[in-house]
Amino acid sequence: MTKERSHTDTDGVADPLVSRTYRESAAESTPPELDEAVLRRARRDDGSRYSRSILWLRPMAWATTIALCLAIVVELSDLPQVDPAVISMPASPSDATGLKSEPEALGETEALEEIRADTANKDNGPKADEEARYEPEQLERRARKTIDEDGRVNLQSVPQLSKTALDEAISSRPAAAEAINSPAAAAARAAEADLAAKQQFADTDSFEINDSPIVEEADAMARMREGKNKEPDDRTSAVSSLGLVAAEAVSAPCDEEAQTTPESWLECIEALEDDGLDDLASLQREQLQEAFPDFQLP
Amino acid sequence: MITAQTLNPAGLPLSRTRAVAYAPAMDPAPEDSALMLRYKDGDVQAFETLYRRHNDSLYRYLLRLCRHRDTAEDLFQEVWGKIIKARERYRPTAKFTTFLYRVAHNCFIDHIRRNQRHQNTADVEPDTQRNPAEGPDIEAERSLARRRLESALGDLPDEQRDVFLLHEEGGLSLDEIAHVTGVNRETIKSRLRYAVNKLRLAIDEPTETS
Repeated sequence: MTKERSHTDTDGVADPLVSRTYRESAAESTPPELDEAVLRRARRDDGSRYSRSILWLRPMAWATTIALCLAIVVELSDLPQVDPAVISMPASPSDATGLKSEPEALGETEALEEIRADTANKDNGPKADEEARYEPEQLERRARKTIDEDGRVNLQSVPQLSKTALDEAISSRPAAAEAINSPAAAAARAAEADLAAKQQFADTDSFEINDSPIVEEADAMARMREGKNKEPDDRTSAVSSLGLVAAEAVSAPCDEEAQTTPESWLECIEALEDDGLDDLASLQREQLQEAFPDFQLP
Repeated sequence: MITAQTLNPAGLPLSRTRAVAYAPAMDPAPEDSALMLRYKDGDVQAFETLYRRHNDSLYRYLLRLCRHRDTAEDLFQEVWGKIIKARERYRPTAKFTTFLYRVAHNCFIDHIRRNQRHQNTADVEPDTQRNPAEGPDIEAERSLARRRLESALGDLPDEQRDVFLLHEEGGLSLDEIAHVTGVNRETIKSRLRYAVNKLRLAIDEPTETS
């Protein structure tokens, strides 16, 4: 079969004499050392069983890699998405330009200094911390932090109690004005505002206030108390006088108009007595006598 | 002059009869493929059997193709090394002989590319077979014919020598040679015809001129 196929496949091209002569001349055999080298290599490279035993390694490695990638993708997709508008919105005008104003830079520097100071104070113990808390520089620094350039109170940096007291003080502004006009109804509110202001002042320790409406109102009340021509020495004292003025509104419920003449003042005192505020009435009587010593009280 | 005895007692061409002795057994593909598959499964003994079956013919093919013994031995180890390496990917889609000689052919091509000009000087002395039954005159004539053939074979172009050796040593058909070399069948047939004619002329050359 092979012979016939070979004869057919060569299409009669092959020459029998040439083939026979070639066969006779070509009788070389492979050198034994060459055979041994090839067979030794065949035995050495026989790793098929071992290869089959670790066939699972490659798919396992792929599966592990894919699983890890999926886990990372899922983990990343579960992160909260930040609104790009929030990211692009500048926190302040200076942030929009990428520049920081000098006060902001100073604020950061001061904050760092405060952190260092607090750390050092913690090391010195609670007593040193408490002492450092009331040092003038610390108080001033805190005041700068809690009040911005416009004089508005930074509520986020003020302690929660001070914030509440400040809200109450702000809400007491109309009550204070009302107390001037109607002494009986405003007395309780003024007392409450007094307490709130005192609490605020106590909590913030140093409360440097610039041109806020509260300060203006406090200044007006201080002027009313101490005289129209007298300017307050400083705004801190004006704030401190806020509570005193409110308290004085209780002790002096009669306004300037009522105190212009002894008769009208006396009517006011009688009105207090009618309302059952005898203490206030007696206090007003004493002031009336001091103001008008010639006036004969009934 | 040698008289061409082209037919054996069975009436078949003598070259075919001898070719059977050199070429793999009749329809060897399943057996060679089975041996290769067994080696793939770790049976080293199967590979040894397969190697013993093809080692000499492959060695002669490379030896006459390179015409340099050391190069032939290097290529011989390289070819079997690739066969060993490729056992995991082996698929019995074709004759193992075709696979084996395709690897050998490619190794030879790579060797030529690496060395650009392979040594053309033959250092191979033909290891001839002698028939003690023949008389001294006939033996002398045949010995002379073998020398002429070896010389003519060395003078053949590489392509023609390659086709002739693939046919004689590998026992490959024209289609199989075309598959091994990557050349179409008619070109292979033409190359084989040229090679055989040149060798025949060398063998039939008058004694006095040799």
